[in-house]
Amino acid sequence: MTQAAMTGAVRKTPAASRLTRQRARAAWLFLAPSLLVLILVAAWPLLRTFAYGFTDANLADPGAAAFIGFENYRFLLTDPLWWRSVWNTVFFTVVAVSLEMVIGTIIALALNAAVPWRGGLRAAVLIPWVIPTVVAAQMWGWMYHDIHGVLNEILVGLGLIEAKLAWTADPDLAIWAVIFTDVWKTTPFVALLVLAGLQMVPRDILEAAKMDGVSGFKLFFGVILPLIRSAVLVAALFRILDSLRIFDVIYVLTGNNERTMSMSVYARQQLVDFQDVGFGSAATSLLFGIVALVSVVYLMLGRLELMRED
Amino acid sequence: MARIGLSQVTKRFGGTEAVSGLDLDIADGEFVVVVGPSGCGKSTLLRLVAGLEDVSSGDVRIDGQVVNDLPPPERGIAMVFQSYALYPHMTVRKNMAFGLSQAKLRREEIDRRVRASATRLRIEDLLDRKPKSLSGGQRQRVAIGRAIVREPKLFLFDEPLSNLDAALRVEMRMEIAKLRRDLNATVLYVTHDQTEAMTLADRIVILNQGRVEQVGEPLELYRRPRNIFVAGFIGTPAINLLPCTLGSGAEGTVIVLPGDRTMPLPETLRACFGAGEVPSRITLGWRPEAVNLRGGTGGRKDAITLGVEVETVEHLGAETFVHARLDQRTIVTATAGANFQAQPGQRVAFELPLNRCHVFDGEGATLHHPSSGEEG
Repeated sequence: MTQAAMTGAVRKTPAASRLTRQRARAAWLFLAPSLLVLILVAAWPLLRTFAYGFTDANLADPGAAAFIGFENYRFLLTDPLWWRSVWNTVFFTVVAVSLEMVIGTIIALALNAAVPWRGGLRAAVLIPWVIPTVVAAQMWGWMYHDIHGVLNEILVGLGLIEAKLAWTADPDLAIWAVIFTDVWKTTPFVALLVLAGLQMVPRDILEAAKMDGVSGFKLFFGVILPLIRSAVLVAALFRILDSLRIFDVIYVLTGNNERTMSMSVYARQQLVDFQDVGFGSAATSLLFGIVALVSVVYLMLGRLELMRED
Repeated sequence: MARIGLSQVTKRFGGTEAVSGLDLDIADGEFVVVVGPSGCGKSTLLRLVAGLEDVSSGDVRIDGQVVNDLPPPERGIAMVFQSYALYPHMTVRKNMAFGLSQAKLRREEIDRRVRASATRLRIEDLLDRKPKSLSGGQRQRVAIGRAIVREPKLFLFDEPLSNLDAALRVEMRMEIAKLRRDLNATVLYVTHDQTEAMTLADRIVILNQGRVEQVGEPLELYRRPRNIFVAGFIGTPAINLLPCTLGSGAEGTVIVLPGDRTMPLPETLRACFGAGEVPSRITLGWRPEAVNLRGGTGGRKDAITLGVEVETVEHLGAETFVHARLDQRTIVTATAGANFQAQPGQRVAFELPLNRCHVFDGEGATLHHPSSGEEG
């Protein structure tokens, strides 16, 4: 290489990096507004909550808080009601999400088939998802009502139960009433995501399977499910995270009932009813930690699975 | 191996007929290629035979048995899709074995068949790979392998080479031809590529708007097209078609060529109409290789000589295509030697020998084609 060419090559480097710096600066400029908003509405409140968790702050006068170290967490981890609410939340999540995934997938398969009135059916299925959760929960609350509720009316009328049941007050029934309402409400969301996945399945592959004589369960579990796996995993992740944070359905239907109390309901009770901002914040922080941990583990498992695929 | 019979097969989608009253018989071990422009119904035809679509009316027979109501796996057919349609989550081995395990074959038998066809297609090394890590040509081989392992009576190919690049397409074309000789199988092959049709087929079916235009051996279709559509569809570059009108003048019947050039109707053409009445409109056709280039304008008696203006010259190495403008609407193409040189805009003379002329009537049906010795 000649001397001139070499200097030329050397000179090129700073010019390229200046362009890179310019691009980086522009990128930060565009990101700044959203970063600012995120810091104000997400990072700051989150940090405040973490901080309150280490104090004995009171709702009446949060300013007069004293640092008490891990005292709140020590008490939290020994409170049987907290562990009860953790168990309730986990039970609710496992049962409700499993039901939603199975029923949602079945509905999606039905909607994906060439059935008449498909467009109308798709819209109709979405209705429960469109209704605000509080409204839906209140509506179900009335239907579950032990004396005036339509559910008891129908079941007694059909002779399926002898006497009217207190669906939301009975300790053994309440959690199932909550689960049923949540499944009714969020299955359409799962169905929609799975349907989107199903519509991405190439027709040729389904026809190749048809030529291979594959049908029914083998077609679904052997061909379709592996192809829509990522859509199913995403739907399940969303539902798991939502369920771990579950508050509105439970609170509207059963209030502070111990048999249905979730982690969020527990934190609210401490923070609002008992005015204990410090302790409530500690419970909320722990809930945040649990949800974060679950999503990180879930995503990592998903990625490992994908790497194994390749 | 199997005989296929289609009689009066019609397929309607809503109000449109994709295939209309189609009759076709395929002999045992025959390689039949269906070609036609897009939307002509060729893929529908294949899917009807496969059983992926139901016929609206008519019968599909395999070895004499009507299979209209038989589901695809029971028809003894294997199909190769344009997109390969491999199962992306399965290894090559599983892709090939999946249909067999479904058919409840014994494990050793499945293994034997998979290994045999992998060897035949030279994909033994790929058996444990997933389709994602294969090239287009390799995927195509796997797709063909998946068809072979089923040892079907009939192979269906739906534009199998259209997703490959040009070089690979030629290679796979030869491979399919060889495979077919080895397997001695009956094949129904759909393509829009007439080169594939010409090189692979025992017989070609030309389909247009759901109807058969002509069925025949490749060279027969080239030399003796039954109508203007077939003449125009087979052959690259396409046949030159000159719409003409016939009228009577002082010296008897005259022919008016594009560009309003009038000349007495040559005796050779006159003979095409026989004793019957002379039609008012005809179309004359010459294959590009039948067109001679002349330096001057002096015309031979047994040819029509046209003065044209060169538009583009395409040097292909072994030969040269000269596209020249006759008038506003008509471009005439001639095949010239490898060293032919001309500038766009240059005036040249094209000589169209009458003994190599195809003649079509006003409806496009063939009145006359050159005797085969002269066409070439």
